[in-house]
Amino acid sequence: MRREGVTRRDWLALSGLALGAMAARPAEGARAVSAGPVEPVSVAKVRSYDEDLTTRFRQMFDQIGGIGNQVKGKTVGIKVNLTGGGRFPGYTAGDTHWVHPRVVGAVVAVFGALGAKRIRILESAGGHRPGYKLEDKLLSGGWDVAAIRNAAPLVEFEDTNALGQGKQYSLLKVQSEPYIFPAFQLNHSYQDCDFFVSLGKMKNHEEMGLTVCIKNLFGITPLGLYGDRETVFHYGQVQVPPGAPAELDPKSNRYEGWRLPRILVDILGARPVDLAIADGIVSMVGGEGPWVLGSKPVHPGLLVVGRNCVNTDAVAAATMGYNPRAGRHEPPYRVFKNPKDHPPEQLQPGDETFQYADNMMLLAEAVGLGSADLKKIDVRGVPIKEAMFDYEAFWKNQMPKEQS
Amino acid sequence: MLDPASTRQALADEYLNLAARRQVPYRLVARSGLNAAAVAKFRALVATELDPPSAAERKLLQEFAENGGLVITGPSWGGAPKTEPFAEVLAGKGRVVVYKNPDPEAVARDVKELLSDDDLGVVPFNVPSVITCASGGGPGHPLLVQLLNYFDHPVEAITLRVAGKFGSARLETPEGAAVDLPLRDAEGRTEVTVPKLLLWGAVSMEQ
Repeated sequence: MRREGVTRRDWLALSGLALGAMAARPAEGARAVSAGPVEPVSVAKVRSYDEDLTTRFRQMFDQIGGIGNQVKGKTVGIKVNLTGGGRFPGYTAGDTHWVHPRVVGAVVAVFGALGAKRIRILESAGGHRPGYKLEDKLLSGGWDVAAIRNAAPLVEFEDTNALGQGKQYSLLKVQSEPYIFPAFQLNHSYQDCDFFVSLGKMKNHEEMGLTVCIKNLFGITPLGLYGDRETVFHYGQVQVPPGAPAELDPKSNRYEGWRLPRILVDILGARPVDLAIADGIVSMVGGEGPWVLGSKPVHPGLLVVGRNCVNTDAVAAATMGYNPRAGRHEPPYRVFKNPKDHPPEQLQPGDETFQYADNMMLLAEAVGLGSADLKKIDVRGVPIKEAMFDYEAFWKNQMPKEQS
Repeated sequence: MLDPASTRQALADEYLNLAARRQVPYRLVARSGLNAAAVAKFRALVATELDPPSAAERKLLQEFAENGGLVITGPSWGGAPKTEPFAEVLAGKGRVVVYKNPDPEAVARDVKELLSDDDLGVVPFNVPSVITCASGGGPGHPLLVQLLNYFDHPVEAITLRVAGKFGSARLETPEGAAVDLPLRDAEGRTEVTVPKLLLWGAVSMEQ
């Protein structure tokens, strides 16, 4: 069947009937995707960032089968989430909308103890000042950069918003069947690593409904080349500049709720994740940063870790109280975007009567990148039911005041 | 630069207010006192109040830029962009930045981004509700950085990055005895971290 703007593959993903799509043949030359057992995911309840997170992460890594062999003697790249500025009164950015420095420090310490040769912290620093570095952004958030640098034998920081220490960008092709883009030009660090970690924050997102470890990867696209993520990726108002791989169909749907989840899955397909870590010890509901109207801090007390990024996001979504197989009509994917911050055409999608985001986990599942089916995922540590923190209820003030 | 004859004093005050909040150190130069000697020690001149600049003022500002300085001006300078917020025009060793509309918020933000660490001298980090004021620091004199927190929550982990190499740093606050702060080398500059600031503190640094 074919509906305008929706292929059969899309319909299967959106309706949750993605089992058939798991058998879809990957594009020629793409990495063969196994339909075998899905990777386990570990869930932990962690009350505070003051706990012994190093020991906690060692336990969680053991629970998912261990990572020592993959890390020893290798270069580890860790994409952290440092989205946006501002802060809620009484909270740091690392509490609510960035990953927390103590989480980063603990993860670095564990990798160092496991024998990683080099650990690179990666993110777009977003600064415009001459000589502005990623370390400067961390300092602006009150991070103890020296402590993180000393947590393992060799720790580096790279602003991946441009060339950084590289002489040219690296071309990474989408290994799964691409939706929008066949490849991306990225900072060299995303190619020059043996073990890649997506370290995200468990939050709502104004446009995407949810942001955890898949959405964390959006920041690996360098503005130094692509220019502007909103006009190029979110809305597709402009095509990529010369030198960057063009999108497959410039006439495809420009609505960001349709487009951006598919681009995120393409990015995951181009830069596969070896370890996904979701920081939900302290976080926020209602949006991805304090600038989103109605958002507020919460204390879920959660960590989620897994070898497969899609599985990890699915379990993280479940611990946030969401159905990982939810569609456009359901939370968190039925969205309302601030009219002041979005172009008028993005407030009225052509194919629906309300604003939405498609479920990036289902789209990833449809191209064989992982599973969003909780019945297939082996959840270790704390069962989801015991760990669950209902983000939607807290956002809508339907829950009793949380205990401190 | 301030023009006491200006009818837009509130706007002029806002430049100063927002520059302070962006941690851009500044001094005031009255329009009547504008001469080459008066501006020689500065790295940047915000000349949006010279609207328009006289021929002599324009010549002075142009020479300041050509000698390596940064000049911030409004549309009366000429060459303001049509769509971009400002145009950066190279001039000798320096630059002239011409705004289409020199909004104080935009100017304060952009001045901070257009200046390097060396230009700023003292660069504070993690100061969302703190303003800083640096004084001293000349040969044989300690550098004093005062910090004022204008919010009702304390601020933790404030880092100061200072141009040059220093041998000691001491923090004084009303809450207790002065404490020595450990120093870190930051690629030829010196960094020091204030663990917690309730309302006011002063860091004195000596070489």
